[in-house]
Amino acid sequence: MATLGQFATAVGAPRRWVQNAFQALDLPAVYTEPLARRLAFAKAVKEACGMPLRRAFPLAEEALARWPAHKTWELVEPDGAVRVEIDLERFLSDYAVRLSLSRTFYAEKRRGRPRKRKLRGIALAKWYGVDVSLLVESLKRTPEERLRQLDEAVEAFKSMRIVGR
Amino acid sequence: MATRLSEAGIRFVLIGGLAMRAQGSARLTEDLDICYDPGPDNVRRLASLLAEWHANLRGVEPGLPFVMDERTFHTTPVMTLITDLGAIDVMDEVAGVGQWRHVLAESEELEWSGTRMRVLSLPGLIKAKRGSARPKDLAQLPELEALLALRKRGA
Repeated sequence: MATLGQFATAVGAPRRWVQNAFQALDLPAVYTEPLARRLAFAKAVKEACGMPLRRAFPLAEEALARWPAHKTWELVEPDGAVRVEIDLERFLSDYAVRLSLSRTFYAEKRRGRPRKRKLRGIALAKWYGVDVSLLVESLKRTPEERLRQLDEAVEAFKSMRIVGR
Repeated sequence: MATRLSEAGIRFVLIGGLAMRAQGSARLTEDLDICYDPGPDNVRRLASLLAEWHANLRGVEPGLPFVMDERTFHTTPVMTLITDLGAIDVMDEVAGVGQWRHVLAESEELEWSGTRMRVLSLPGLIKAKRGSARPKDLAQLPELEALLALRKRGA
């Protein structure tokens, strides 16, 4: 995961929330996918029952390790007063959508002076706004399939006509 | 894919590369981008059709589950998907234009392969590209501005 913005998108939280969470959990500012998944889960638990992030975060690893053998994760407080059940499939599906967006749709807001470090290859394409996942899908087809698809598209475009407001 | 969506009674506006093409651009595009009406009946139909097309997320590692249903649309209304029929990006609002009703107000009627559907107008596309932070979108502005100028001159 490249940037704080992409990481925050995958977690489903504002950047400031992520920065505060990193500070509260004494984490180094390294934005990796497994960490985003774990933090997103801890956030879900925190929101569900008000558990402090410092307590929810260690539980996240144990809970996520249950998937796919177990479909749900349950937490019952020792006094039995609070019981939380998280649907792991649903949680991971929602997380996967945000992760997908962070990699395909998310665009970094450009602030301040241009970067000095020169980007190359895939990183440059992503910065420019190229959806690399589309290239990956395209490369799954043979050149013949790609050209046939282009032919079909060009043929289909011929029948496009604006007919009014 | 666009005609199938239309035939299924789904309310949407074509945006992105296909809309540019419909408005006169010479660019070709790999995917279909739509802005959909977030009304419950429409989302139900859209989710059902996408599930029928085995929609899956683009850009994520295998192993993560994905549930295509109305609830997913409520949680995350923007999705970038790959289906049996090709890639499709779905969203309930367009940066620079606004929510569904604004996008609809900025749209025109398009006839394509005998089917009628809505497509973002040229001024709407210009607003969308300006509203985007991506250099790729900003680079497409001169072409759209030129198309608008040519249209105003009656070309």
